[in-house]
Amino acid sequence: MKKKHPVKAFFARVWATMLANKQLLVGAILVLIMASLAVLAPVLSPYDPYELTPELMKPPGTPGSNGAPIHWLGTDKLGRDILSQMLWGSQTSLRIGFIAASIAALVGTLIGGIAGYFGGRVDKVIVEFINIFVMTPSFFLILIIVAMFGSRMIYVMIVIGLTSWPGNARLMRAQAISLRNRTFIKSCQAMGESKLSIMFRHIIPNGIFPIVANTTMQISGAILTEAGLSFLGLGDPNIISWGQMISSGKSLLTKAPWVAIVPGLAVVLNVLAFFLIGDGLNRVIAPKMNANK
Amino acid sequence: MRRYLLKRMLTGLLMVMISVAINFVLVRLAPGDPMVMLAGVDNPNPAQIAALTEKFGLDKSIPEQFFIYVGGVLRGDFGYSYVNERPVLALIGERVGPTLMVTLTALIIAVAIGTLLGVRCARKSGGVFDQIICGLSYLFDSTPSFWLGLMLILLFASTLHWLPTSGMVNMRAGYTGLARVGDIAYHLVLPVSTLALITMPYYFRIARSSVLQVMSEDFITTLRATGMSEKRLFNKYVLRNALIPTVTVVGSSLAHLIGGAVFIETVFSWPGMGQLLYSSISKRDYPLLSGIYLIIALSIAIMMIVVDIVYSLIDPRIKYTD
Repeated sequence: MKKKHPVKAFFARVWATMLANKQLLVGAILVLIMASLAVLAPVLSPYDPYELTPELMKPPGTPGSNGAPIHWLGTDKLGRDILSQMLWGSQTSLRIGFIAASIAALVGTLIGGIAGYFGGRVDKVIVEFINIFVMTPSFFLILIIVAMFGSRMIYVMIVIGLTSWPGNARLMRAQAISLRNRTFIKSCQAMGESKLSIMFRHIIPNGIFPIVANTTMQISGAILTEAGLSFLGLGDPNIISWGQMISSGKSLLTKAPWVAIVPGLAVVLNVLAFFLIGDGLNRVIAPKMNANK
Repeated sequence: MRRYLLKRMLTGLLMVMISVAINFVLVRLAPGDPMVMLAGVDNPNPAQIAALTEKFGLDKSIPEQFFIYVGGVLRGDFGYSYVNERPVLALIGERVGPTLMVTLTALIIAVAIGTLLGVRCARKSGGVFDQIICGLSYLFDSTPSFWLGLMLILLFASTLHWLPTSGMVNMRAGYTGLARVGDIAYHLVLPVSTLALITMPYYFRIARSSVLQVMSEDFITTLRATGMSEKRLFNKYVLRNALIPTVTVVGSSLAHLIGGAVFIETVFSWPGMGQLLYSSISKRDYPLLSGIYLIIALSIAIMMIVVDIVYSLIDPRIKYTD
């Protein structure tokens, strides 16, 4: 039999896994759609998201005045086009999700890897530290920090990232503990490779998969947290965010319900997409738990 | 067992201490001089500032201030809310009741229904019912609580007029006695439903996966081979083992639940701690903000330890040796 090109074989395997795993497939399609909408926001938006059009609180489908484009999703209190705001807001959502979850992944992998591979006293101290951190009410910490130090998007991302690493650290620690007794690690040690080098070149790359799955889930969490902060009025006022849109729709609930409904649905879909991917990946890791069939 | 509990208490204590420290540092790092705010005028005179600084001990060194602060917390003095002109603890005390009412009711409903559904779905996993409930659990897991609350208000209060939109009592009616209890229950429906709906998926998944896991274990197969009836097998052996994880997560989900309460109370204008937190943020009332944070950290630590004790009581296999 002719052997497939390795890259081709890899994609064939990914494709087969996705077809066998509904969650993964649906999630991936959703994420793909959202990501393209976010990237194409400048092209697709019929209006400038900040433009105050003469149509105030008009329902979806209202035509613009003087031949301007139709407001497909209506307008808000100030006459801004909701569809355009939605498209630009998706960039915010995805950016915060990705960056915050990456920070959490990085910190968690490092701390967990060190604890698991080095073991001994280092491990004991780190485990205790993780236990304490897991117990602290992180959402309130985020609230306080953002409330006190200002709500620039970069702070929001860093704070969410720095408060959600413990899950990753636990996963990586478990991976490192099981990997460190494997023969290939032992042989690296015998050949005199330094501990740090083994950790970065062998332990982390071989044990990273559960963290990838968990990080995808954490993108969902970060998007929800950001939406919540914005809803409470703690979002970055200089960007367009779905949470802020829901917040502004709160007082218009009876007069113009679409102002709150539309961005809320978008948050649900976005969070759901990453959640499904993360769940799907977890099922790939532990096929035994695949209770879907 | 004893050693384990002691260790857990130590962890809890450490957590609270670290929370106190973080709080202390954050409040002092925050931009803006609280004394200028306290003086209450745009251009306060320096003598007034100096007097206030001395009164609140801000002229002392940072370590000294820290010990004074910790000493205060130990004596139950969580600070003074400049904005409300009242001690923080008194403000919080008034609000704890309503918050507990919403969160505990929602927690009980979520655990009960979530677990029931989870067990039911696990017994017939893969069926239509299971697939529908699993789908719904994903959906509610992805829904922001505040948005769900708004949608429920839109549907049940604004459109159908079945339930009140917000508040805890009907101010105009001024009910007393039993009528008041009924009124509060009536106002409780929507906030509790919202919080329960977003908490349920968590308990549903835990119950479902742990039942599935226990059912695949060897001792169940062995018992089945002895010819024991499915019903007895399930009620006596599967269920008991499968419910243990639910107990453990009740404690750790508490932080999450109280976090959810902030949104629920904001959306429904429920006069609880979440709303207090929200107003302390918008008024930049830092002492109140950090007081609430401390109370929450403390109650979570206590809850964790209680759960550990309950856990060891229901599962005799667990002997905390290490």
